[in-house]
Amino acid sequence: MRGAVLPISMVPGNSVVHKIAPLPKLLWAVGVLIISFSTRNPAILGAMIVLGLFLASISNIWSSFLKVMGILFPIMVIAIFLQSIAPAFPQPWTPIAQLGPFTIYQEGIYSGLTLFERTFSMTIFAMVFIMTTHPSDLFVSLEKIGMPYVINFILTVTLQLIPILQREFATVLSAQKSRGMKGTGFGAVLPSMVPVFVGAIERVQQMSISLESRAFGSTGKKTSYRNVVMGVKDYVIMVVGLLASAVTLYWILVDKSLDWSRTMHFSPTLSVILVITAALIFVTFIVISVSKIIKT
Amino acid sequence: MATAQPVARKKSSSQIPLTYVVALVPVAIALNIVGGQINTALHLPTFLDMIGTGVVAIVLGPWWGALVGALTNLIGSFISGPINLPFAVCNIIGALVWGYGVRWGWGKKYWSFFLLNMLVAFFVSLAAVPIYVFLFGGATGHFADMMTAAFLAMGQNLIVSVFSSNILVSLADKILSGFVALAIIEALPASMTQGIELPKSTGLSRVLWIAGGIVLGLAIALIVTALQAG
Repeated sequence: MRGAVLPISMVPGNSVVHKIAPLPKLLWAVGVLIISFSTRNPAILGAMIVLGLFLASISNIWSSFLKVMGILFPIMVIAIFLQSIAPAFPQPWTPIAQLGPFTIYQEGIYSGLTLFERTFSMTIFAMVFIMTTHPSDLFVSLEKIGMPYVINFILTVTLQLIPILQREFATVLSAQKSRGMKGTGFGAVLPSMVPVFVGAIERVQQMSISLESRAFGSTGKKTSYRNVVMGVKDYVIMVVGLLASAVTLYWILVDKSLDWSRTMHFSPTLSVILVITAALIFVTFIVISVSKIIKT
Repeated sequence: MATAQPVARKKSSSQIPLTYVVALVPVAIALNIVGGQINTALHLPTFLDMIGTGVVAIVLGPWWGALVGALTNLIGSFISGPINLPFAVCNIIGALVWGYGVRWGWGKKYWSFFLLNMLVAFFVSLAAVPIYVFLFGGATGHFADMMTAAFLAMGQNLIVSVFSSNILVSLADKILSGFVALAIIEALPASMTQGIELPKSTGLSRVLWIAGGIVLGLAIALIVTALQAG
């Protein structure tokens, strides 16, 4: 089970980014997310990647950050391979090279690279935000801006339940293996879900009684163990983030020349090298997947 | 003399205390997330991230299921990266089809419940394809990417290739998820499930064989069609 979980969690630290309140960081991450999905301009996406990497470096989260990127990077690269041979772009496409049975298109390389940049930029900002923010601080901050208490409670309890369910799955699978039953594959995983869920339901019943006895549904101000205070610096960062996102979004929507798909050209050699590299990563991914499936 | 006849009351989630709902929803979300993680760890050719959604949509109602779906992908994006976030739409659609399908009587018989799961797979794939193609260029690092590449090599365009690969994975996934959800619902306290008409849960191995047969049949049909079109 451990190998399944991406090591994305808060990395304790005392950096400048750690000290920023959760809401300004969330606003920046959401802003980047919206801009990433709104444009395919490689320069804008590239600039966000550079800014994200800069934030990651001043946050002192490189070790955990690189571990996650090591897992996510090959996944992002697959888009370059698929797009280069079948662009998600309106036709006509401009062929620039031939690679065996596949024709590599100008628009495909552009599309693949920009989609890679899109995923990379939003992932970097999301990682920086998650790795420098305590989840409880985030939920306390969200409650302050009007997030319903019930939703907040659900989110908090879910984060607590995930490691518990992971442990219980591992226990059930180990128990099955120790009794000579299958420990991997559908035959093992699917039946193990029922006892894990039912065990969790028993916990739910206890929690439900506990919540009733503490007047969960009552109105009135709810208090929290943790407290987040926003300083002037946080408000400034938030306003800058809001303005930067709004201006960039407006620029993207108004300036049609930002679409470089027909004007940006790639040399055939560079395109072939790029596609072969992406294809090799893709094939490695397939080989690992198939070998794991055969083993199960 | 007229005697009062007992009238069967229609089940609604409002009969279940809020505290119970508030406690059940996180378990369902956690099950979705952990199911998805196990699927990734074992490289299974499915998703297994909608079992909790199915349970809640059937037991509590489609909109509670939709909440579970949305929060699964929201929290999932905190745990495994933001690629998950746009696919919340698929999880929500799955919850609505399961929830309303069972309430409209599609869950009474074994075969109709089977069809309902296939319907969920179809609608979820319809929602997933534009996200795959236009936001992520057709790939998200799943096993299905391999099939997408194969369909592309047969001469199909990207949208058809992604749909073909996704529907195959989705069919297997939703049929299995639906029947695991059914087994879980059977194990829930009777007070939560009274009024919901569902078939008796059978052994999962039988479902696995039927799902495998359907997916294989559809795969052959899609490959033949692709080769003829290519």
